Amino acid sequence: MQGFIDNLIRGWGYDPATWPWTQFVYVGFMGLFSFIVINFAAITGGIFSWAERRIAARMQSRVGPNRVGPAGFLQWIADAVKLLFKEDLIPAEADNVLFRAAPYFMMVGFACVFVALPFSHRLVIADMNIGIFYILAVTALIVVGIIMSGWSSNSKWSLFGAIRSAAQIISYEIPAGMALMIPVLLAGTMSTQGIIRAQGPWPWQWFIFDNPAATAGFFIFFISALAEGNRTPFDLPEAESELVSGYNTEYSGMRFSYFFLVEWGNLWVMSALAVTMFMGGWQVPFFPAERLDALTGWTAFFAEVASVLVFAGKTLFFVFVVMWLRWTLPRIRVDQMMNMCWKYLVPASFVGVLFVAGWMLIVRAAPAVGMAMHFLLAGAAAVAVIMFVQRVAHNLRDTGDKFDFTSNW
Amino acid sequence: MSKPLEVPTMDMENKEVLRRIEISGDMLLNMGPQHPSTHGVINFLVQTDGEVMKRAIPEVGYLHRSLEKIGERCTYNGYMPYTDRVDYIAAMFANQGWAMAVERLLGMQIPRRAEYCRVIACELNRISSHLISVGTMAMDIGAVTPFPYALREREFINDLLEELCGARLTYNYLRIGGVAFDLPSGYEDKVSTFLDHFEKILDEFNRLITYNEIFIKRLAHLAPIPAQMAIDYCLVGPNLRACGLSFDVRKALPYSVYPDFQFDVPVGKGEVGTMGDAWDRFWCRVEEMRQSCRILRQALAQLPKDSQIMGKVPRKIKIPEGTEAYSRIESARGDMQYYVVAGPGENAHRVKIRTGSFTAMGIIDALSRGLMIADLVALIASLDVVAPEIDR
Amino acid sequence: MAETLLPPPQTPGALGAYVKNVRDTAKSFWEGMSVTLSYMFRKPITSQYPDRMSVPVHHTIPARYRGFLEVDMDICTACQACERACPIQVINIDILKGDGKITPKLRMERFDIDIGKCMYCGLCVEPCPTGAIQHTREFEGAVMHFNNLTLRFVPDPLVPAVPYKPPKGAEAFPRQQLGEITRKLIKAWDAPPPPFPSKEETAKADHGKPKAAGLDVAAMGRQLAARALQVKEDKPKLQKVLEEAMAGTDCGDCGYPDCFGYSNAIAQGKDTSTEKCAPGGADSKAMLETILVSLKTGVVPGAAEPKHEAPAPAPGSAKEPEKPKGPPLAQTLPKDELYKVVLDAMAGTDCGDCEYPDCDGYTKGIVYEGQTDLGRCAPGGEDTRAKLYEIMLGTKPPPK
Repeated sequence: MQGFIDNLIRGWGYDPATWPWTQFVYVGFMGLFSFIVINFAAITGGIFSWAERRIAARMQSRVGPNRVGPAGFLQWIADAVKLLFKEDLIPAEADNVLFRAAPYFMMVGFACVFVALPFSHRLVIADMNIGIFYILAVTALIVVGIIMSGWSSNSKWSLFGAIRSAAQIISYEIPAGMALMIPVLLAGTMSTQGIIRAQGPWPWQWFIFDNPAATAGFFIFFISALAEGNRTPFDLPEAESELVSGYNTEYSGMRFSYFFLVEWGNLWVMSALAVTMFMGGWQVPFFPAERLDALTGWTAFFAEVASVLVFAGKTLFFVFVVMWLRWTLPRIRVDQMMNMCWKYLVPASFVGVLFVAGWMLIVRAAPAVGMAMHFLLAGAAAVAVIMFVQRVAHNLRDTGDKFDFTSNW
Repeated sequence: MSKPLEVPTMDMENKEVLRRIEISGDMLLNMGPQHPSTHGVINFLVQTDGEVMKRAIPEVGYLHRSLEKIGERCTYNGYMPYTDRVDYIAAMFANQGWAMAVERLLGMQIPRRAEYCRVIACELNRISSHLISVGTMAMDIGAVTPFPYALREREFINDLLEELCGARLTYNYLRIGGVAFDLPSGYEDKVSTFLDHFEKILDEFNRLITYNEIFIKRLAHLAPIPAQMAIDYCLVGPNLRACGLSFDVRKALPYSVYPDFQFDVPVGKGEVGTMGDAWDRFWCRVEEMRQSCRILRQALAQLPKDSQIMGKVPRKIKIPEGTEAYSRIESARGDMQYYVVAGPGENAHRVKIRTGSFTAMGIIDALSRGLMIADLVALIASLDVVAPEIDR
Repeated sequence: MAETLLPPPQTPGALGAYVKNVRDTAKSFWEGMSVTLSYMFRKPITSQYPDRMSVPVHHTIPARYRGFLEVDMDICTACQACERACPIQVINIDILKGDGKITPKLRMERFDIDIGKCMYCGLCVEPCPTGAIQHTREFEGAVMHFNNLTLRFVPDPLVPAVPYKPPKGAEAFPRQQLGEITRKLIKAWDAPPPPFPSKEETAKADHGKPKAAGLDVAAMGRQLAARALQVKEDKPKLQKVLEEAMAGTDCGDCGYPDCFGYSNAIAQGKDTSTEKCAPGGADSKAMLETILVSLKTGVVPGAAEPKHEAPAPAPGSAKEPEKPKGPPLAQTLPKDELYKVVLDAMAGTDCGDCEYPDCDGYTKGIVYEGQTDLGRCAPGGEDTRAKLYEIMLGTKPPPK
């Protein structure tokens, strides 16, 4: 984006390197971008809240909120307005300052991620050369907010939730980080845009199908991301059947809604990250990155829109998968969660990184092996998807029901 | 001036417990009475060291409605709707226990068709009660979706029972000497259609949750109850059978027309963990639903064709004072027992109801030691306690 | 204990267990997720009550559904069996008695069902002789005022409902369409609750109307006691006197099949209890006690302050009636005339409580067949009894 602003300044007839107002223009644009990003995050979070409720309802043979607006789409606005007008209760025994501050920490940790997240071919706020590091670092702010909220609430249930969350998020940072090292190794860069450019638009060009370890790495990353986002089966910090509501038990009104905004907004973050690192990001079929770079004018605009759509489509699919998982799986226990992290994911991710390093040597020696593995894994995935669809159809028929997706929305 | 002797009470014990917890420096956690997974208003005093529980003491009595005392005030017929409230998830069994006790007081036989009606209603109710149990158990483990699926099937049963007796929860279907209504026309077909559908759903339910790896990992080896311990703590019903003991009142002390039917008593086998663990208790309930389906099919096939559904009962039931009767039935939560002593007038002198949930509460303290907080939730759910049945 | 509760150690073969766990997890996720996804493509089972139902909700409710209670006052015989059957006293019926000429003998000032208290058990529906009280399929009971939850089937106590007189041998009764009355009542639920008139107002409204013959339980008791003393040795006659002190509903509440059984037991000296007559209540108890005491002592208690002369044969039997009386109608009128008068005195509900098929039968029994039990008309209760005594014996009825 700096290049974009520099070009703009040049267009005004100044040299950004020497013009005294350059820094002020930068600050102005930073404010504008942060406004846009926070609004994007809040609105996606809101929309996901509606989407999750509709999807959950549908999966549970229910209807879900369908009254406010078309198909109930405006439900999230109604909820937000209601939460805004609710009394902002603070328990008498709570630590007032920390209690008030905690939601902002979560919001900051969550919003900062968007700085490095790409949206399309050109749309990224800062294409940092340490993008992945940056993302891993700022997401840790969320856990600070959770611990603050749990501690300051002065409630035992909240404290349990907060401590669980701290243990969980810090533990799962490790496998998540190691799994992300696999695409970093494959691409040779930590820049998010660079990693996307290193992949291709077609499934067999994605890093997930690069080699078995990368596939495993994807799953490790996905599981860890679920854990970091407090999603089922790792929703222990807010396990409603055990801890009432976990760290946000004592919150109400707008402060409460921040927690949920972050939770649902995190769906976008984790899914976008997975798409960026393993699924080819915004790469548009038939339009390799180099061709996109060369486009100008309206064609460039439409290509940009297409890449946004591709990226958003893949991301939304993963958002759906995360919701789908939540409404399918039970919750694991806190010791099992730690077991899973330290006994399964951490060793597996280390092995994966080593394997990928070795694999890259093999591929350099014999590129055909690399291509064969690409197609083999992509083919296996396609077969799995077909089998899964058959299984779903079998389930549908088995209980004598009919395919009916359209009624009762 | 001698101080009166202090009688040890539950209160005192709790005070002592609280004092000890304070000394030990552990955390005291009040789980309940308004906790999402205590299945009603029950309180658990939980002594924890972090996530690991040292002890969980159940505190009961929040839902005490003195139903037994009401039984001494009401007429024999007038108490029937109150028995619905003993266990509102499986009201038909409480009805049957009361009806049988009073019929024994009167020394009467009831028409065979009425017995079949009772069995059909009770077994439908058993399925619906177990559906609640397995559904809420899955929900307590964190899987929300099996719960609406279970409740959906329960709604079908509720529809059937509503058609039969006009109510969905507090049925008040049985009368002393028979049943209130005969089966509506076409009822047999409706029930068989439902059973065909339900058995498929049960398979689907198993695929969705029963054999889910996380579910198994959460429940296998969790709080296994050795057979001897189960007997010592007077566990009944599926909780007892999960420990490998095949005791079912319907088989062991047959009542009503149960001897006419072929069915198995599912017992825990430790299929995925230890015998008598929480998963076995879950599995026993799932299997019992299948057996109930079997009984229902046989009952529908053998249903007597005559139309007599009420025996000869005097309009005002008066029983010589002091006559005693005792009935014992296999309710959804196990052995449910009624003890009635006839009073001078139209009402009983004493009514005592013994229920499975209350005895199940006793074992929680012993089982809870060393478990984690999340396990306590699973343990309570696996024992299938229902708050009104504990307190009555 | 603690050791036995610990999970057994995992089987060795660490790598094998590792792979097996991963495989089982993947397999069970595969199964579970295919089930939940398949539900995405099925029709939801829930219906969108109340406004987006494919069929109106009332059409989905089975016929036996136990909703709000409804009483069709047009076929209510005022027998109060439902009130007696209710375990929690949800039903309140106030009976207003009249003389049968200017006002009907039996009217219901109040027939209230407190829906807020009702537990919908259906026990009141079962004893109803005409099916006047029924469960409707109405269940939507949100109200603005809690008091409105009481369904008042007699809307205005100043206009009491006249009981239905079922035709002879009727099997079916002309009931209004089930649910219409209750629907009408619950439509008014959002209105503020109507004030229930105070006792004074009711009394004022009744003022000027002829009152029922005064019911002086003590006096009746003394009269009966006096008669009883006369027939002390004649058990059957004594039984009849005793039976007069009872409500005469033959309800069986006392444990005997009918009033005859109970009174006979007392007359034979087998039973000394006086409180068993449930319909007669305190009145019957008082009268029976008076009789038994006088039988024991040979003196009618309280007879010392008599004011007056009564046609009763006993000396010093009762308090003076309001107006002096000649001989009873039964001795002056011809039988056919008498029949009309007696029939007129009955409640006219044809309830059958008197063990005759209807009021006509009972009247014939009294007039032509020498039935001496004049207290059998349960719905008419005290009033009818008083009138019958007045007509047949010229006395006040014995206290119940």
